[in-house]
Amino acid sequence: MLDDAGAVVPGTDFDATKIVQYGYIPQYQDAIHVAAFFGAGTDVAEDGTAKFPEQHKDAWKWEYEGIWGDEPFIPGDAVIQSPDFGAGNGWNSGKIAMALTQQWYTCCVGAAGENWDLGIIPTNNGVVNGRVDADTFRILKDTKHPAEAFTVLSYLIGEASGKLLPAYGGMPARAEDQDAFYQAKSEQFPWVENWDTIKAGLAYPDIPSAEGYRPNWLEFFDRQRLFQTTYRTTPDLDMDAEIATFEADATAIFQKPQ
Amino acid sequence: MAAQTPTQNQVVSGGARRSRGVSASRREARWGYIFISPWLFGFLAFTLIPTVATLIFSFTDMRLSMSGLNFVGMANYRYLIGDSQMWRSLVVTLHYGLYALPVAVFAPLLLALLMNHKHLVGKSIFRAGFYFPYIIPFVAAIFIWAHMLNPTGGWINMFLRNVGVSNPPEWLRSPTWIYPALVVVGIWGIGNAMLLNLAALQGVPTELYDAAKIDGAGAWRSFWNVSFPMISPVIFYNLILTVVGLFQYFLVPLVLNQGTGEPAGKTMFYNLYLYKTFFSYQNMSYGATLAWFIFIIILVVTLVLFWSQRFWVFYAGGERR
Repeated sequence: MLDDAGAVVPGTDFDATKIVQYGYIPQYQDAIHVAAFFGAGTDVAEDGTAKFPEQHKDAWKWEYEGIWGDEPFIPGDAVIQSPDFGAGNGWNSGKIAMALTQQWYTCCVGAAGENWDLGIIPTNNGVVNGRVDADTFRILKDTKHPAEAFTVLSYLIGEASGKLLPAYGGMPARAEDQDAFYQAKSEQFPWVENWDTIKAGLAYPDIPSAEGYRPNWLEFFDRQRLFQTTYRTTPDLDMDAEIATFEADATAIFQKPQ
Repeated sequence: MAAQTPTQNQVVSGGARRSRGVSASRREARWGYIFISPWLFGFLAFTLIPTVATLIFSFTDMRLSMSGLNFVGMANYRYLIGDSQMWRSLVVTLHYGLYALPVAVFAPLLLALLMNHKHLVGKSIFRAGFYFPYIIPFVAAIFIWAHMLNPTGGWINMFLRNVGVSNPPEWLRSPTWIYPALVVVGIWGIGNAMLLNLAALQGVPTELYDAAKIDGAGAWRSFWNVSFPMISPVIFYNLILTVVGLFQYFLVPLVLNQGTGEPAGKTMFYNLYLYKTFFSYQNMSYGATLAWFIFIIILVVTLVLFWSQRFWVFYAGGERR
């Protein structure tokens, strides 16, 4: 990392409060997503309580150490949200070397220059982990118009998909549509060489999905986001205690009357 | 002279008058009800029935998608007692109250004393100036404050840097500084409370000050022994409104931080948790339970405050309510 006086980590003169260049950002990745890249796993135990897999706890502690440790290389929340670092779109600011993010992010890298490419995700203890960020349409089980909803959905994923997918920036699930999609991407970013890493990544999906079902999902999602902003905004945090609190709260949320 | 007895006509005539009187009274009452019926309808439709409905919902597992009610007894209340997030939200609210309550009660009083000072020049301008923010829509004001508190380009940190503070606070993203920031935003709307204090101060009879002066009282003694007791009912009124407002506080964190509770859960106020339970998580029955719980807390605190007024609130007519 580089501070505003040009000192780099590791170094005795390095000032961690004045970093102008970071090394890495898990961009637009919630806590559950960050965790999945260290290895998929369920956090709902058979008895209905929350029990986070050890690799998920390792992921959060690793990110925390990257933000607040002696050799910080990940920006904290205040930096992420600052205008100097893109006000949320950190990697686009050109001041963060690597970003772990979804493919749809190609929507928003206009200012990042023309000298970047895609790469594979490092392994965790020798194991390759990936994550499929699937944005899906759903029909609620309580809908009063299931047949009509099915008709609309069929249209959206069929005839209308040619217009919708570019708008979402998502890769088509249909194999026959994928080449055209990446052809369009190649024309948009001609300097990018490694588009094939995305398709190759499909061999390593997160099972169970990081965005899979949990009881009272919306409340759990809010809680995991609060957990993440807590460790991204708080130096000297006892991460073990914070994770334990998060786990206890998640249990309460899973067991809340519905 | 024989005692006169009422004739039948007189009796009939008197009865008719009474009858006409009763009839007129009934007619008057009927018209009265007709005139207030819009309010009565509004009260029933928008206050009483929803209030009773939420009480009923708190004993069900109601969801918006359900057509009927399924009673679950005290399940929601049992969960409430063990709900750590609820207790944390309550602690957040009380913690913020430690900062906000003294400021919300005494800052308007101090301002009113200044506005009432005999040596102040341009009183009308100052009074209008301090009241103006109150008439600006609060949500718009919150957005303005969000920009003013911006750590990089906000005016407050720009000022602090200009006076030598090299690393000014991240007001809205720091768990340490968020409450002072919220208090500062709250000061924006104290114009109305200031006006009430000012009106009360101007209603204190001047002869009381004259008498105090003759007795040798200085400025502080005049305030403490004359002004404060005389305006204490208004201070009490402001205190009640502030306490109730504190327990219902949620608009500012909802707008400033999108109701996320950031930073580090410090803005997950009780009412925000209640709001999210209702409208984000769509858990109507538990939301109703939370609403009734905070209602009971507010009621108890208000009753305690009403009890306490006998020790410090002075009513000029001798009336202690």
